[in-house]
Amino acid sequence: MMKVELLAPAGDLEKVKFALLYGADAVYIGGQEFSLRARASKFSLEAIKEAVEFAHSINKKIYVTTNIVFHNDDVDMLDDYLLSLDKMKVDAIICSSPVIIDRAKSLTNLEIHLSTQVSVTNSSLTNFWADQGIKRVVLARECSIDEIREIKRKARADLEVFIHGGMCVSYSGKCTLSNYMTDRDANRGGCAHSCRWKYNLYDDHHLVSEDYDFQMSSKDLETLRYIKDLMDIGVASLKIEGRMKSIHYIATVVNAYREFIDDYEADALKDISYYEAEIRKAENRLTSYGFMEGITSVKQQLYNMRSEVPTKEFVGIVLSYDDELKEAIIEQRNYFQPGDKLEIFSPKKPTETFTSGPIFDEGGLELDAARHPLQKIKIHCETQLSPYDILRKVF
Amino acid sequence: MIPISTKLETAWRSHTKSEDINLNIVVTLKNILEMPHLASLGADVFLLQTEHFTRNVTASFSVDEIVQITQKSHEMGKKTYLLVNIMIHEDMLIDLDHFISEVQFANLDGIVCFDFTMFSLLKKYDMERLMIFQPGTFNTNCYDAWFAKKQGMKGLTVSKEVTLEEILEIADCTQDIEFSIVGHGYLEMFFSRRPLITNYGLFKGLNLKSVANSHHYFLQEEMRKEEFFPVIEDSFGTTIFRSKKLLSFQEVGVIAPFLSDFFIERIFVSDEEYYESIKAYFDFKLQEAFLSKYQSAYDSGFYYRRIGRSKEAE
Repeated sequence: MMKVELLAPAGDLEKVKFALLYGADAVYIGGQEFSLRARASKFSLEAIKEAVEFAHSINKKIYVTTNIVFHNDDVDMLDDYLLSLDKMKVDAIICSSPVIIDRAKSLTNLEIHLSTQVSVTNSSLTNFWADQGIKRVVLARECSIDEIREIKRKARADLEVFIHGGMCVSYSGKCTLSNYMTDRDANRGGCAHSCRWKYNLYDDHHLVSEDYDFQMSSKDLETLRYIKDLMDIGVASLKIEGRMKSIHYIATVVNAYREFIDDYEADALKDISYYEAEIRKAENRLTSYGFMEGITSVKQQLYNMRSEVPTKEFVGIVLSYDDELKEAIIEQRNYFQPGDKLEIFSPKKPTETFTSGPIFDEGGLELDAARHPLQKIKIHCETQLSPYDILRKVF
Repeated sequence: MIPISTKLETAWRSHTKSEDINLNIVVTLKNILEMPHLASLGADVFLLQTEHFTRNVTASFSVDEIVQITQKSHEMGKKTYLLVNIMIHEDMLIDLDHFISEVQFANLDGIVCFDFTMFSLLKKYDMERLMIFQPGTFNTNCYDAWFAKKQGMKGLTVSKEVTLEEILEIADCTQDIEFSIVGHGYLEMFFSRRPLITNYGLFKGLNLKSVANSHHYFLQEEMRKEEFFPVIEDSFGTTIFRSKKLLSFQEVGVIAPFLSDFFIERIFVSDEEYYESIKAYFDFKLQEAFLSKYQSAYDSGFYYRRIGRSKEAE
């Protein structure tokens, strides 16, 4: 069986580190230029360099998205940008426009992946792009597992498949709702998510819906039950969506899929409910398997449905641990107080729980609760903790 | 607003195709009997929709009819294009290949393609020279035109969300390949594989009748209560259109010297309005009459709207 890559999103450098430490083989990030998801594309060239160095230091990879649909005035500075990415040894760029593919091929040795923006849904188009020098094609999220299997059978490029996260309701790259309604270009990083707004449906002049309850939103993608098939098919990369998501979400989802992949490779899979429960510790949207079984039904849609509350709340990140004093310095993220039951979520060991004792600030002042995000606090913990461990409150 | 060249405007309006202007008016054909009338209005190209490979169909034609219409159009000194505007999934490849093998002898003048997959399928039959790439959103810069030229395609249609200024910029660098715009009518702005109307009906327990390819559904967004967006669901998915039709009476005079084809969309438009719109592109006086009758349903699309790259850019 081909070793499959687990590919995670990251909106900033901290998330890069968490994604990689919690089990991703590679992370995709957006530069400040030429990337969709403008609000999640915060990486300056300097930050990209740091991300690459960190990833390579632990034998992992960084891909940079350059997947906007180019207009003439976007092309300025493109060559310099690509040369910079090449120089800092970015492992691949993810793009959708012929201009960037051609410039990258002409000027650099960068590996090129074709973005899902192109909405590749068949082997013929996959192979066209393979012949253009594309190493990997990110398939459209509208492909079923049977279609993926057939495409893989005929494809001359590696395939990457989305396995988890938010989904465009439209075919990617085929939506200009945001352009028309808000003057923000959906295909250049400005999507206003107009597809998630509320609408009324009319049949001629007759109102069919009630109080704007016609909604197009889809449930988020969750494909644990299809990972075995995707691995058996020989898909090269399993991709998680969500550059805007929190550290907790990324670490949790990455870790769950990492565990599933490793367990399957070791022929030691647990019941699927175990992995699902792990994901739900951070997942706060309803999920479905998207197009994996073909055309979606009402079950994949989201109509004013209540989102689930995650089963665990992210309360802090371990910054350091004193083995002698058994004291940890924690960066607080959400409220907790002495007596709360906390779970230690670590990339290196099974989860454990403990009950929080007294909480102190950095100056040693005892606090009645940890209530200030990003405040550095000190707690006692008999279990050895490590930097980048996550603490969650158990309800 | 970009000033319109008086010379070009005059040449255009009088339909005396000067050396500068060699533009085809592309119209959607509903039936073979309509051909002489559309030709008399000024149509140069008949755009045909297919039974199995066109979505949002107004009128579809079999392979035999495609052959017949193409032959007749040539006898009339006109041209015929075929519209293939679906997303091509793996299980469609064989049927589509078979279809292309059948229409390869129809002597078509162009095949308008939404999905770039068509390039490889057409190339198998040495038909890529007929391909007009019309993806709706992707042809936004000069390089896209050069890329299309390099592949040996017939032409490309500029994206629907670019400004007039951008169209002129791209047009200026596309002299080696046929360049076209969809310049009139309802333009789509969203295409999903999901059957969104059917799913909603199931969710609500509604007995929605004749959803498939029905042209009488509309969406109204909560904060835009004056706007109604036509929406169609068919076996290929759901398409949402702009609330207003695009009008290019002023702009076509500016763009015409660079254009090979000017598409006039027919969907959701009555025959009467469609015929009047075609005629109006050739007659300034008719434009005034057209506007007085229909103006409120039209706008200038993105010709003068520069779209920001992000929320921060607004």
